[in-house]
Amino acid sequence: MRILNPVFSTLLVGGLAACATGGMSAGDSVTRLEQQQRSSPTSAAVNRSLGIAYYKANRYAEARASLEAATKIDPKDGTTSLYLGLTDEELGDLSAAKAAYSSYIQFGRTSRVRSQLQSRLAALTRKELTADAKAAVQQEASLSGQPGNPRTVAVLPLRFSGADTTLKALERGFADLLTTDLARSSQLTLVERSRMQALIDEIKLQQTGATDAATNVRAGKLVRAGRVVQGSILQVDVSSLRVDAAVVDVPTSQIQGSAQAADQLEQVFNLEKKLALDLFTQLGVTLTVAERTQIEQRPSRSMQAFLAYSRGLSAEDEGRYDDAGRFFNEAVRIDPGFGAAQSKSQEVSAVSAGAAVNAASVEVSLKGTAEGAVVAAAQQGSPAPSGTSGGGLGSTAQTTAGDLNPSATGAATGGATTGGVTSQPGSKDPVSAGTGSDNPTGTAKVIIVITRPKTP
Amino acid sequence: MSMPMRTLVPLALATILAPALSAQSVFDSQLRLAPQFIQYQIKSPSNETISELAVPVFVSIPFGSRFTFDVGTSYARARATSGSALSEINGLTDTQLRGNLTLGTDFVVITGGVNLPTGKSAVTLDQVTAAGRIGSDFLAFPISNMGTGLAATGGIAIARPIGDWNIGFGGAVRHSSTYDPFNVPGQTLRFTPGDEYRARIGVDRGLNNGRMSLGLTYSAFGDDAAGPSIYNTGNRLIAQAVVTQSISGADVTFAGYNVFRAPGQYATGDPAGRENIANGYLGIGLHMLGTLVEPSIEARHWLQNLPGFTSGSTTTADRSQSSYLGTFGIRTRIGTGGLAAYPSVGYTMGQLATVDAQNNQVHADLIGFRAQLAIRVAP
Repeated sequence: MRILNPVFSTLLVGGLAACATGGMSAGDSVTRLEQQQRSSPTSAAVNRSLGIAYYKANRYAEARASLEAATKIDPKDGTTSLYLGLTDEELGDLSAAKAAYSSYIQFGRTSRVRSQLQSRLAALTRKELTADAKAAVQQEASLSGQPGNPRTVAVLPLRFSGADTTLKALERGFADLLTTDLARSSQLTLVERSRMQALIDEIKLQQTGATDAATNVRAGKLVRAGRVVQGSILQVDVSSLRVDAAVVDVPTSQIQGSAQAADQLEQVFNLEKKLALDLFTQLGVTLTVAERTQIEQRPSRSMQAFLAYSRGLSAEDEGRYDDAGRFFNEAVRIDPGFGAAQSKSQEVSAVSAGAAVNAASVEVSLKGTAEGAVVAAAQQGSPAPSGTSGGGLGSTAQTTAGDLNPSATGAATGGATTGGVTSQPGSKDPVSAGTGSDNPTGTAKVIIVITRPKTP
Repeated sequence: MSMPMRTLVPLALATILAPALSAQSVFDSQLRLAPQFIQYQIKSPSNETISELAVPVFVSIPFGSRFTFDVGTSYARARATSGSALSEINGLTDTQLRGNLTLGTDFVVITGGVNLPTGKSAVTLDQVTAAGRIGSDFLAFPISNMGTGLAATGGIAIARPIGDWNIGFGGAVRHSSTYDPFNVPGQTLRFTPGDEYRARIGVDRGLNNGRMSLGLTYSAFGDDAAGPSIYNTGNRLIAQAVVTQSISGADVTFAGYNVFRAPGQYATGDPAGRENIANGYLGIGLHMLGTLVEPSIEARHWLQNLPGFTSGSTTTADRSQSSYLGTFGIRTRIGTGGLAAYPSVGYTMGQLATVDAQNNQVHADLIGFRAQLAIRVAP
């Protein structure tokens, strides 16, 4: 090694000089990657890195163009999907962001990020509902003119009247039960309760003082529902309720039919089932035996669990996801068999977690991973971590397979790859090794071998 | 003979370091061509010059996203001179066909390959020295033999994530057919290489803004049969490490390997001692002058254990000897888009352990030169 010292010294000086130049600015990275993109326009890695560099430079429109180009070339690259989703969010295109995140969940390699994005998807769905509601109200003139499908039904929160304000949450709970039961029929399409609620909230936000009836019909028109179900819950006395419901024809705003039921508070599920079956009649729907059997199933055995569930829905509609989670958990604690409460608990937990997911938290999760290396390389203006393909499980498997079944010429031409290493290690060459002819300073004994007697 | 085994680690490095195969169809095929010349001069007391001119060609063709087929072959000319004595062999080498099939989402890869005997597997006595010298583990020529007869390899590799690491493991078997390694008038020597059993475990993970890969490959060889002789020059254990980092815009690659060969037996019946070759490579890819300039340095050490022997009334004890070399190289990139050329040159200095006329252990100075023009064509 002594003879190599001058060479080592030269290299070390060169290497230290390179280090002393400091990190690259975002602008430098973008410039370098733009140059590479011009020379390699069909490289997925270059387009991906350029997109990431644009994103880091807050140049979101250009980031999206580059990342979409990378996606077209390699639709299964998780890092591209991740940054495309982050970019789409910055551009306010929540639907595209959800599609990109879904792609990452399918193809991405970092499990922590997959988990974060699953939560983020739930949060984005909520954001999307609000955004859709705003857009619908803004486009009300055009949407209201389009006739709704009579088979599309929206159930609106019922209005509670009574002395016990703790029962007010039944407004949401009862509407939820009705939505679930009416959706059992294959002849109807129910508008998602949370979507309807977001629309009503938006209408009320923009037009304070609007009556419920007017708001409901407007909301029905905006979701292009043919009919809406609205109504009221009246606390008759301490222990009993009466529920009135009406089917309103949206285009004409006329009441098509009505139903009512009254029962003890503890019999709220019987009350709701009776009302639902009457509403099917008003809606002109004939249930099959199987559908009717499904509708007659009680979601819970406990009125207290249902009340907690209803409070959870109210909290959820108000965006208080932590509170909603506590109410849903309480419902599950009271009735562990309350499936809807279990689902809601998981849903709001995901929404709550997803609200905290952003580029910074995702990049923390990427740190130390192959995909993190890709991102870091992009910030350095490189299409991929030095000399790597970005890693990943597929790379590991292919490398292992390559070592098990190597190609000599594949290795000999390795200098034609990025980061190609042309050094060659020793391995077995039986004839040369067995005769000693592979030893540059030895004497081959091949003559001894070939002069042995032939095999009889 | 086993040309594929000969280049086990460089293939691993090339695979690790290769761009991602995002290719999905035959239109994403890649052609690689790498004409190169390597020469070593071993000074006194050996006074031998060994050179190789090789033109390897490698084509990789993807069929869909799950199957990749590649084919490779090479022209090679090997020459060994000592004083006025010249040994030379040239021609086409064997052709290797290989397919990799990926199954499932957890990355199971089934690999199969055939070594077609298109090369010169039978050499004349005049050619023995040249054909043998390029098989030197220490000098590590890119093409290590001219032909090894018909052979087939099959294996399976599986990769799984464990935390931030990916772990890959697998096994393979290589079976070779019988052939004639020597072309000597009036003599026939049938040679049957023993089967090879290969097991590998490797791990890799992202590391800061680069990547780290570690691998361990164990190769067990069945007995080779050369006429009436049965021999085995020892099983091998190969350890590899590759670390890549981007530092201040420079792509830094450190690659190391260690090859250990267990004791065995030569065809003559003499014992073959264990040996170990350790190699370290450091390359720094600098983005400058509108291209990539990559200086590198490589150091290699060869430790040989030479078993003692008795000759007449003289008994020689076991002994060890070390050889070493260092190579300074530089590589750059020319071209854009689908066509890229990577010219590189390297200069080697070192010392090779040998014996003088009095059988004393001495070192012969070693210098070497290599030049390569690697070309990649991809759509």
